[in-house]
Amino acid sequence: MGSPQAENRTGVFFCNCDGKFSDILDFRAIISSLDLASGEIVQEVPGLCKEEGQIQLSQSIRAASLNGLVIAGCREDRLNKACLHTANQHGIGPYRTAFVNLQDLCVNVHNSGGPLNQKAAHITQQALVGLRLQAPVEELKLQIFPAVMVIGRGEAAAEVAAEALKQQPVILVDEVAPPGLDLAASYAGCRVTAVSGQAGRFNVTLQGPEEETQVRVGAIVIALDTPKQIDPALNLPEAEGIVGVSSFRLEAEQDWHGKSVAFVMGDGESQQSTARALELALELREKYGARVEFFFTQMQVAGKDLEYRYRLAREKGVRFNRYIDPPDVHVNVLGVTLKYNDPQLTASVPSRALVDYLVAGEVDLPAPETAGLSKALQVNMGPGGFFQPDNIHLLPARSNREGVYFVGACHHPVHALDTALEAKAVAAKLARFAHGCVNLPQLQAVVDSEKCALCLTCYRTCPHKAVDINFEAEAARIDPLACQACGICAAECPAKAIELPRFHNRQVMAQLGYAGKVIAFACENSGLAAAELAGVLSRKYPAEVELIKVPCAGNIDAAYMLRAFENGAEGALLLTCHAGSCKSLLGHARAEARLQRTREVLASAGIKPERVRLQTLAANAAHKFVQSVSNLVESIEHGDGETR
Amino acid sequence: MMKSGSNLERVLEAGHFAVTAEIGPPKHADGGVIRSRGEQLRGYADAFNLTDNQAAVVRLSSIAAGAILVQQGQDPVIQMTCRDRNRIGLQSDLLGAYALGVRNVLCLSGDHQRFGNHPTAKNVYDLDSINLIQMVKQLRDEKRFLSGEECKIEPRFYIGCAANPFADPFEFRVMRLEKKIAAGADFVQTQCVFDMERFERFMEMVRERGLHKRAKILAGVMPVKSAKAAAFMQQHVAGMMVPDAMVERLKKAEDEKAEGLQLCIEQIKHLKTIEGVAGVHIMTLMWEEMVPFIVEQAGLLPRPEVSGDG
Amino acid sequence: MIVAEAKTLEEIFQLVEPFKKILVAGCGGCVTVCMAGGAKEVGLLASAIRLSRRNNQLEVLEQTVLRQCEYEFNRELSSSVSEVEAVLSLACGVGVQSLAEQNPDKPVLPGLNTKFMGLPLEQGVWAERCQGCGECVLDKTFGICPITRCSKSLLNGPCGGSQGGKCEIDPDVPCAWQLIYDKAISLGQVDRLRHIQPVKDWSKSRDGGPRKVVRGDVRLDEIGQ
Repeated sequence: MGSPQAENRTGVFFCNCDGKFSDILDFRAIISSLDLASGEIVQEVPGLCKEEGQIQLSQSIRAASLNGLVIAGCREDRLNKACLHTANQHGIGPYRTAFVNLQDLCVNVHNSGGPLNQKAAHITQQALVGLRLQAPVEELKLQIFPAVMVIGRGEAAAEVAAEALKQQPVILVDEVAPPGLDLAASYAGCRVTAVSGQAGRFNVTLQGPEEETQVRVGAIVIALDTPKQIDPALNLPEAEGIVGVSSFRLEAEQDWHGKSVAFVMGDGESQQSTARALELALELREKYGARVEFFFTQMQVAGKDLEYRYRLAREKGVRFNRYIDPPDVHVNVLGVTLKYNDPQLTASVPSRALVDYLVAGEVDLPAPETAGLSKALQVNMGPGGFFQPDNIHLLPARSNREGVYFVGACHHPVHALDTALEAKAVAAKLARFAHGCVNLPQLQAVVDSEKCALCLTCYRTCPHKAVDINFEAEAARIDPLACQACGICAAECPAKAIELPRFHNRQVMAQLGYAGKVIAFACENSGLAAAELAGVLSRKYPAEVELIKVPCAGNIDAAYMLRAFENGAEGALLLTCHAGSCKSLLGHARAEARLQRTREVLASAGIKPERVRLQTLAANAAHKFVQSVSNLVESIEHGDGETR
Repeated sequence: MMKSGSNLERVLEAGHFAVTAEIGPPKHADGGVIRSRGEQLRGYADAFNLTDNQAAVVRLSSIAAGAILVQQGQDPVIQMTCRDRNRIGLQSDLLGAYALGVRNVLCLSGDHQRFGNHPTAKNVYDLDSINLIQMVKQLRDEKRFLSGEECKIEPRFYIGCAANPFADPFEFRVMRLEKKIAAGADFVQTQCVFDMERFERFMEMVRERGLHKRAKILAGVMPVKSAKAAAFMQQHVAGMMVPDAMVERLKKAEDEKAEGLQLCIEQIKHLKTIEGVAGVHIMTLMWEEMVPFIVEQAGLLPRPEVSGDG
Repeated sequence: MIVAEAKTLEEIFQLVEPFKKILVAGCGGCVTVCMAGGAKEVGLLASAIRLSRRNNQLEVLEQTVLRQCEYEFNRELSSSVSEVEAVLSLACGVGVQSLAEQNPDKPVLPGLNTKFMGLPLEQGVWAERCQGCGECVLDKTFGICPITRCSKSLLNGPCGGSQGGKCEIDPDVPCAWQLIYDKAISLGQVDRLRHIQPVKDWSKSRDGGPRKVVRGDVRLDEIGQ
């Protein structure tokens, strides 16, 4: 673990926005209340987004040989860009440049006065101590395997293999190489039994009919074909003349002229099924003039070309019949009889249709290999036994593990409609691995092997399965490519052996030394964004509320909450994403667990446990942010807070 | 030659269908309760079991209660668990019980204290029930304490053990009984039989191994007072099996108590017909006054008088 | 590993009540692994104590050593110990006692209850596996310890309270003898269970008094004398 910059010479620059902020903020008071270490300077600048401002910044950097910048001003992008540009010119770089959004976190949301100035000073000071304690960020150059493994057979696997082939070697598992694709290798009839390593350097064990093979790839795409089943909700009898959409063949008849076909679509089936049914209906109608009855309950039109095909089919004379209860179907020598209630007619007399064939809508079932593969690859499963949890951050193609992606119906039937598009999107992600080498800054969690007790907490807890055991070092190792820097492991580690470089325990603890009466620990994916939006919308809330930014609510250590109270805070709030929308899947749950523990401690220490609260909110929920912090402040003002 | 000369041993060895009944000592220090129970049940059973702090609830000691029965000229079976005493205490109590005239001992592991009235107690389990049987036998047949040291005047007990055909793993149950018999058990008293089908299967396995010829097996029975009590045992007592049909029958009965007694009597009559069952052991759970009725109705009177062989 | 769990905060606050300056001493061994007494717990407990004494100042130092059951590692604590009135140890009972032995003039208080030797069944759930009886029988019981895992430590098979694979004392406790029996079946060695295990020699367990293991071959003061 790196230590803080040997020589800290950070400059704090307040942009008063040409005096606009000066009406509200008392910069003189703010500046005088800052705690500066030796080598640190502070200046007020009229307009940092302008050329003169940047010149002044440059001069100051040079004069004081600064190696760190805190820019406190507005939210504007051009300010940030201009300052970053100047910082880069002076070799300071992005990880030693911190921005403080005075506009949204102070000016727009609080009335002028002492508390506001104190808050402005605090948030600036927090940025300053953060930089003071910021270890140099290493640039990593990782050697990886450029090849990608595509697991599966059928359309989805072929599409993604073809796309990936444009940029990197492709290894196909469980499929004979489709003609025309120049694959690096293919392992037909093989099964993935285990995977070790991490994104970029996966080592996959394949069990073939005779022998076991080890294959090294940088990334893995799961594109399993899914079995289809006639929608069980249709309650159709098993009989000749009744087939599922995917098994219906036009070759069934020599001549379709004068024949009749009914399509019956269920409610829960895939778009693919509907699309194929419409395609067949059109062809039967257009080419052969066959009579086509199309039964549906909710016409699916929200998919590629669906609306168009539906309209075209109507024009071409396909008869569309909406039903409420699925048709009653009987089969005899004459054909297939459908008895149904047309909701547009009087319901007392059922309508009838007699056809030669009934083609039924289908639902996708999870591929039978799903559970086994999920275990071997350590990727989570989702609703209905398919792959992929229903989480906005993972959709459409990501798994909980870096370097493992999904294409097609295997992760959810909804994805099956446009596999070509999905294959392209996944190929774009795979491109990262194509060059055999990845450069990235070391911003991910790092294990101090001296402190690591190998308790396996991080290994078991990491939602991204980014932790391996380094047997040589006898310590856990967090893979920099696989780690998503959520910091859950850092907050769980019982040996305090894990740190996130930009949310180091000592940084946050130092920042807590400059925090107000009410501290909102804000996940940057939700709470912080909501707070900044409150600024954009100028929604006022009490100035004693101050924010501590965390990468994920799962990084909010119980020790942070307790330290806040030790420092005299009277309330704390954990602002987290909603349970199912956590980018790191477990963050909300871990925050909730630590909240309970902290509450127990507070209660034992004679402080009302309700003084620490958790609020779930979305990034755009500015009102919820304002409401929750205001409620907490209000309840603090009302109650005495201490039970003894 | 008799091992102990106890009445129970004499009755069983003479080939009679034996009857034992359980008497629960009181949760207080008045021995009169035992005395009057003894009088009330005189002549209705060949021997009386005195439970040893059953269900880990503190009660008057089984040995003291047994001694009271001896004074009355009855034949007590003292129950002895491994829960509360180590090998020193157990052997000392065996000598004491023998000195007081007790001749039968039932060797048990003992109910765990978890559900008793002293759940915070430390348990002992220096020995398990099989080791206890071995120890009682060694004292009797080899005149040696567990340590190997000589016991000049040895306690000569008729050694009993328990068997529970209704606990799991079922197949292990017969094996465990065989171990107990190999360790030295002379007679066996089983857990209450309600599930006759399972008991028959158990006895079949017992006969396969010839165990009924190596020890006398007394089948446990219990009159159930109500459908509720039966349902409780069915659901909440580990190691007891109560068939649904029995609960149903009690539920439908006009007089549940009478039906419970009737069931018990039927069970005894049936048990008598099973090959290898040498007697019944009646457990009444604070309903001892019904023992005479049950024994009489089951056609087990009068109890035989068998004189000792010397 | 040795598994321990925290005493209640109320108990701990009472333990430290008489003092104005204490050291919370953590251990980097088993209790870190079982999340009861590592650096993280030291920090949380120190915070909790300071909060409870916010109106009656108490200074709390925090330090965690590699293993509190080694005199050598504990020496790292000596300067902190000399500064405080008492030490609150977050080690197992062994660690507490080694600190107490090394610091005859300081009260050393236990912050944990030491529970057992066991393993994690899953994150956050630990189960007992060994009682240190001094004479291992696992060869006879197919790798499942009846001394530890049978509520009555029976050596010759299950008592009458085993039902559906569970122990009579708690439906969450598996019957050790059911496990032993199942393993015997899968190994095809059920007949080995017919053998009567003799009475156990408890003198090799704690019942024989405090135990010591002496290895002459590795003892240094034996060599060359």
